[in-house]
Amino acid sequence: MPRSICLTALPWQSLESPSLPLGLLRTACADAGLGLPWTYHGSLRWTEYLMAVTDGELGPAEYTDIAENGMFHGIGDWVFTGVLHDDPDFGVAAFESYAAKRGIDTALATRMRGYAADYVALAVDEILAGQPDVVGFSTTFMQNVPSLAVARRIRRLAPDVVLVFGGGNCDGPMGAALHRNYPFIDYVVRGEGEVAFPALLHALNGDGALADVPGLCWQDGETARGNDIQPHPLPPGRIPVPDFDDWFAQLAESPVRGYLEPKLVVETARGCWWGQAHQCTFCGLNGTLMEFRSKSPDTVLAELGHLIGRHQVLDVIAVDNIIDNTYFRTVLPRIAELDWDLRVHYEVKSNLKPAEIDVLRRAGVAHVQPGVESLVSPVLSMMDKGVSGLRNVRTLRDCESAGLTVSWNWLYGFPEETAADYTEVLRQLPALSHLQPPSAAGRILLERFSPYFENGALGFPERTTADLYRHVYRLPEADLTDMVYLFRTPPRGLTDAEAGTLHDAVDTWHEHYTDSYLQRIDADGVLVLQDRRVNWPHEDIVLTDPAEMAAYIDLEYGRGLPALHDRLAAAGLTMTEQRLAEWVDWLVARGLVFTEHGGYLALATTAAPVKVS
Amino acid sequence: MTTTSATTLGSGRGLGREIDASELHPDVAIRAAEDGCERLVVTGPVVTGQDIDADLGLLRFLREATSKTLRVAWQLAGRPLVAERDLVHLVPPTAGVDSAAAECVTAWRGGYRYGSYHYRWGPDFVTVKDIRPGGPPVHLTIDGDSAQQFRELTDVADLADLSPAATTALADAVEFGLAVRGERTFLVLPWRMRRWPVPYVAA
Repeated sequence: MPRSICLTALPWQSLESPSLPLGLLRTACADAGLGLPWTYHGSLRWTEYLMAVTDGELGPAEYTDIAENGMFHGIGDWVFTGVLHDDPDFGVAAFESYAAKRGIDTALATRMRGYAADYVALAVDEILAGQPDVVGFSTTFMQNVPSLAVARRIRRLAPDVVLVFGGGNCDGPMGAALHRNYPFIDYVVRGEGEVAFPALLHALNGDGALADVPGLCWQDGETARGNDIQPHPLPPGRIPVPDFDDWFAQLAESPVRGYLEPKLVVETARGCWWGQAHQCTFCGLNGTLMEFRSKSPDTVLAELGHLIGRHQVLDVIAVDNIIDNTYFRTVLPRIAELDWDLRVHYEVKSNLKPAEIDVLRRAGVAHVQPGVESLVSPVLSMMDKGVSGLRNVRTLRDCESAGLTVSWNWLYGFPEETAADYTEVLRQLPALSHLQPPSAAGRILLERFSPYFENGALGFPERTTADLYRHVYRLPEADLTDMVYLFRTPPRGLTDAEAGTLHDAVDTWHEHYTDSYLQRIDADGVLVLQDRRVNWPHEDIVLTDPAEMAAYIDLEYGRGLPALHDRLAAAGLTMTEQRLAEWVDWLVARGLVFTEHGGYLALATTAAPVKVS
Repeated sequence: MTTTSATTLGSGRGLGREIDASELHPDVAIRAAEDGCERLVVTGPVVTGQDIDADLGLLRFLREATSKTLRVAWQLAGRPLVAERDLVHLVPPTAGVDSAAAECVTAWRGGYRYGSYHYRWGPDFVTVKDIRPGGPPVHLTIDGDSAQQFRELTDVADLADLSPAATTALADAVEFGLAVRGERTFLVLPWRMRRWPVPYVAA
């Protein structure tokens, strides 16, 4: 009968925030009458260990480098894979070869790998010192191999301890494959854990049957069983309030504390309301649980107030895949009224209106991830994003005016795209230098659960597991195929040479952004467009003609010329179609207006953020 | 439509307003920001180094202007009667008009970084972040009655207007480098963070 339950979050969980799954499961177990599980926060301990054994040469910055940049190359998993496979050389040659082809510096990961075995031994000693009956591993992205390495050693040293895996890496067929390929794992929980994990613990206590635990993978004698995943997603009212007390207590005593500002993680919704109707063709992030559910405004306010007050932390990361649009009228205005100096991150749809951006800003949202993905309309259509390139530029402009940091990536490599699709937009990128550039441009990878994965006829019929797994797992391709998330396909869309043009343009955009401004000023009855962009004439363009002023303001919404002409005429302002076309052409040539597929968008912001390089 | 060189409306950007050196009061910064103004140009040099309370008045204006992300073009005369490190989180002068001022301006501009010393309000607590050059990074949380006293200190300028509890709190604040005390006035040094920079993690 399990009395002592340990939950672990091993590297590469974010160092500056507690594990949300662990926080949720602590509350779920307590609510189910199972007591409060204790926790082992492996990310903190691994970083502390590295600091100790390298006299501070490796620490939070180096950990974060691997955690934030290593996922698409499996670098964090590679650090621990020699320990998992009891072979210090396993994956070394393959990783060196992989890295050399891609220009990846392997020095940091190689140095860390040298400490992995001793750390795993230490972690197991510390976990077993707590005399657990059950150890649960929460595993998402690069947590798989570190978790497997620790679990395997626990099995060797303490055969009676029950080992349970759960989390994003266990969703759908991946969980069954993990259970099948690593027999030292007793149970794998697939799907949402708040019901299944307590149900498993009850079953282990003799209260209920293993066959009734939703989504559970388990061994029934000689037979591997995989229970059906719970048919209905957890209602938002039953999602627990996470308990982060233990993480904050450990952080307070940790030498890591001085290097970071802790951030709360909150979850106000699960699933994706856009994906329910139009799943983005490349996106598999929601796994088997796309159905959108959001908490009530009162619940969100109460949880936020509770966590902020309890931990005295004003930095908040909402992990929702997309914000509930009703929150613009309910939750966010109420947060603004509190007048707390929050710094919040939210993921949003990219068709934000200025009023919505203002609501975000007033509520303390400083960072948004709008899923921009591209500025090329035909490619956005291939993604089924439901927005145009013009609309995305508008959102970048309006977020710039509001001073919101915008994180986005430029994705290419879609089956039907051609270089010609990009020509018009790439030519105009220098005019966008005052707006926030993408973090990077990158070719899409085939993700499990995405429409491209599920339906090969959409353009990616040939696929093998991604190259990164060669230096991570020692498994046959058939087993890997069931267990991993990323897949390699023959490149589609832009050739690498064509993509090079995009990469160069994005690099230049990065170089120019911090020193570039293009701003509209309304002063003394005229419009002044102050151009202070790099590589553009530093001029003040003064619009004095009422028709030109009205036209420019109207172009801030994005218009076609016929509609713009009609709207001016309706306002009693005179400008012939020819003159309007010539004037707008001049604005485009001068980089003051962006155009794509017959639409025109004014580019000047209405205010400028404080930019810090 | 006309095209002019950038200098026609001043070489700066954003809506600007000229103010006299005698007008450097926090309310001026507040009103300018409310009017959509993004920059202030101070006419004439701002004389410092003669009266600590006058210098604190200047810093109070700069504290408000920095918090409102106003860019202020101003010239320094003399050298303020506070430590150099207590200046560098505030919007610096563009130039110095004498040798003492020029030396101060060089150090001030060299050490300035937006958000390097600020505070934030939460429910019944306040956090303070100090990453100014010349000292170790400090992250401080003030809660309970002390948080309320801190709020009073940020709202008040004259020593005579302080409650007894806040007077005691001021002594602690001065000891911890959170405030500077003059003859008749005092100043809480960090400013309230209301607008995050881009990127948002840079402050």
